[in-house]
Amino acid sequence: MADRGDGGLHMDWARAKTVLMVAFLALNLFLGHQILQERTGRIASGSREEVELLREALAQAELVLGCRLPKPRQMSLLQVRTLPWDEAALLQTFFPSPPEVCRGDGGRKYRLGDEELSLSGEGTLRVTLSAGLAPDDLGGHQVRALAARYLERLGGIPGGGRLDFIAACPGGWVVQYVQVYQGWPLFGGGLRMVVGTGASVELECYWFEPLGFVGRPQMVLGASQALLRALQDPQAWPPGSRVIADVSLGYYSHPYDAAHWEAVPVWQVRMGSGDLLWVNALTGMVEGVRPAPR
Amino acid sequence: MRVEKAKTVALVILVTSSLLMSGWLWLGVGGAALAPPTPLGAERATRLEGPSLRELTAPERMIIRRAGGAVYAYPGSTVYERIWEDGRLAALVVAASEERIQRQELDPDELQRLREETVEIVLPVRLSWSSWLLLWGGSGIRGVGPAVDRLSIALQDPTRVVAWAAGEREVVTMRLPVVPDYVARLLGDAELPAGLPARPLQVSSEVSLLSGIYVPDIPSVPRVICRTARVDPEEMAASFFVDRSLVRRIVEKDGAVIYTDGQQGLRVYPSGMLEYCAALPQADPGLPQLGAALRQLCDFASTHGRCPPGCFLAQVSIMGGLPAHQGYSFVFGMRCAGLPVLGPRAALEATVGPYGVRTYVRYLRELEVHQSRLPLILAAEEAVHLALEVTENPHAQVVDVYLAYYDPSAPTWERQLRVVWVVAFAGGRTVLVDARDGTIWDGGPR
Repeated sequence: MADRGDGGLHMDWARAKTVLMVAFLALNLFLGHQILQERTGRIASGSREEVELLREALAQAELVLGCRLPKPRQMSLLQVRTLPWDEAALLQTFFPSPPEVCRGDGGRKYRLGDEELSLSGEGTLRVTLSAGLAPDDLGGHQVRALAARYLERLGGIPGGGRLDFIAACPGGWVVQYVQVYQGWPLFGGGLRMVVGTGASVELECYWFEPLGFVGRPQMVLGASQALLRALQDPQAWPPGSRVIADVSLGYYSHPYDAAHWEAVPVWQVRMGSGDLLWVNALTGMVEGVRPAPR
Repeated sequence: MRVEKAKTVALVILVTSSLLMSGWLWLGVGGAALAPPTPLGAERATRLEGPSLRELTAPERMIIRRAGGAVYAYPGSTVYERIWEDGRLAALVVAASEERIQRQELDPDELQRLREETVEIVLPVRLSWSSWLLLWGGSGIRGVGPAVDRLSIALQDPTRVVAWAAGEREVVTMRLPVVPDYVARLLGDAELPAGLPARPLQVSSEVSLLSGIYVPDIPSVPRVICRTARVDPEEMAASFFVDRSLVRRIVEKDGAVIYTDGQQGLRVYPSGMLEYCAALPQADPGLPQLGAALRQLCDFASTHGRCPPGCFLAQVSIMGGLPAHQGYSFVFGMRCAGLPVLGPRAALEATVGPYGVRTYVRYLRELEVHQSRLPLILAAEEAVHLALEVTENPHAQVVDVYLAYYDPSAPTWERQLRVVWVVAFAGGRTVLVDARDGTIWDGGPR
């Protein structure tokens, strides 16, 4: 307000507009920030308060967060089916002479000497072999090279993939390769090689055939939010593991003996011991656990 | 002035955008994606009216015996409806039980006298007397009482009702506050009411037979065509899951589709059958009463599609174990043209626990009654002899013989129901004998 000189007051509109503009600009910045937070999680993933909340919950469960948490993304469901094996080619790859055919549980099993190969009904290949390695040879490099050789014998990763992790475990070593589809790792399948101290090698391999994304993309739960929900079911966590070594986002599904199905977005939690836990990134429920060999 | 105009426009834009953003936040952004998992039993589909408990527990058939003969009355017939009166008879029985009941044992002679000159009401399932009272809206009785599946109203003493079970000696007797209207009319009429003629079962004296078994004396029954109901899996899934964005689909090799959000699972078969199961919660709110549990099931069935038409309560059992695992197991049968339809698959099977419906299997069929009829080539007596051969126990006591339809549930889209004589033995075993060619069918659930 300004003095008009005649004893009355007049409105200084120019100044009032400037003040209102500044006020609304500040308000819009605040609202915009809130919307951004809403779109990326109720509390921004990785924010100090959320990670603190998670650390407290983990401490109560006697767990320690030993890695950074990646940011959530928008994801759809992924339609997949089993990629079938060429059984004849497999037998030629692993057995120098025709093996003995045994009965499998819902699948087929072959044996030659100490070496065994089985194919389950849903398409998981399991091979037990003698690697011919002395215990002294069991270094990370040797194990990784061995896994790469077996992967090559199996024809590589269909559609492409990468080494997910290699970890020393009480029973020896575990190496895990995952398939990758359009940048997303497909957990629940892949090649897993366990080398025991007795120099025996166990391979477990299952490949998905991705058919494409289905449904509207939606923002998944932040890793900390998903883990907080998963901690509500402490019995689902692998016993004995203490340190969370890695958390990564991808798709997960059990192998099914079905025509096709949908894999869900998950946060894969890898413990320092090599145990794996998959937490549904839409609901926070534990989808599956794979303990490391002990 | 130009600057002032620009400031006005900018202010309007800022005010509008702040209003839009406030509204955006108020209504929620990405709320569905971040919402907690679907609560158990969450329902959004349109709820249709399900059958009442009295409809579900309505009698399977009635036999009116007088000195001059006997008639059968099946659901849908005038005599049946007048006696049952939409459950008013059940209400009278409940009222009588609240006053005073007497438990006693009857010897075979007393049992035979009980079945003379009576209106015998055969109930669809054998339950403790206390359970019957709970299902019919009463408050139960102290203790459970004997398991019964029949009510007899003596025409000589029409306020006296005896609840009993074929093959058992312990009965419950009570006095009705008034004589049921239609029973009073029967008393004043010397003739048998219009109904399907019945005759006593007459077998050789070597066969052990509960006295007073009457079978329908008819040459044929209506022909019934059964069609597998078409079910749209997506439509069914929409009625079970509130937030479809959390639901994944598994298409099996046989064409069945599974939907799951981790808390609930639904499988829809190409045959129209559907299976549902819910996860067991940790907490224990306590088991509901039998009537409340059955009501929950009916509401659930009506909300998620519908109850199979003509369904009735065929089996009830109580599940023990840990509190979270406790509950009731229910099996529903279905009727067509007044007769029960038996077969390897029940119309509906479900378990209800402390948190509501835990498992649910529904097999929906469409039954069409034709004008043409199926002749009964095999007499009831021949069926009894064939059934005795199956039991390999010539001394097994026959406690009931009645007609039913049989659905072999063959994997065909359309099929004709068979007609069977059901021969029930003491101890609960039943044998199904095809009334046309004597084939023995596997009874399975109703």
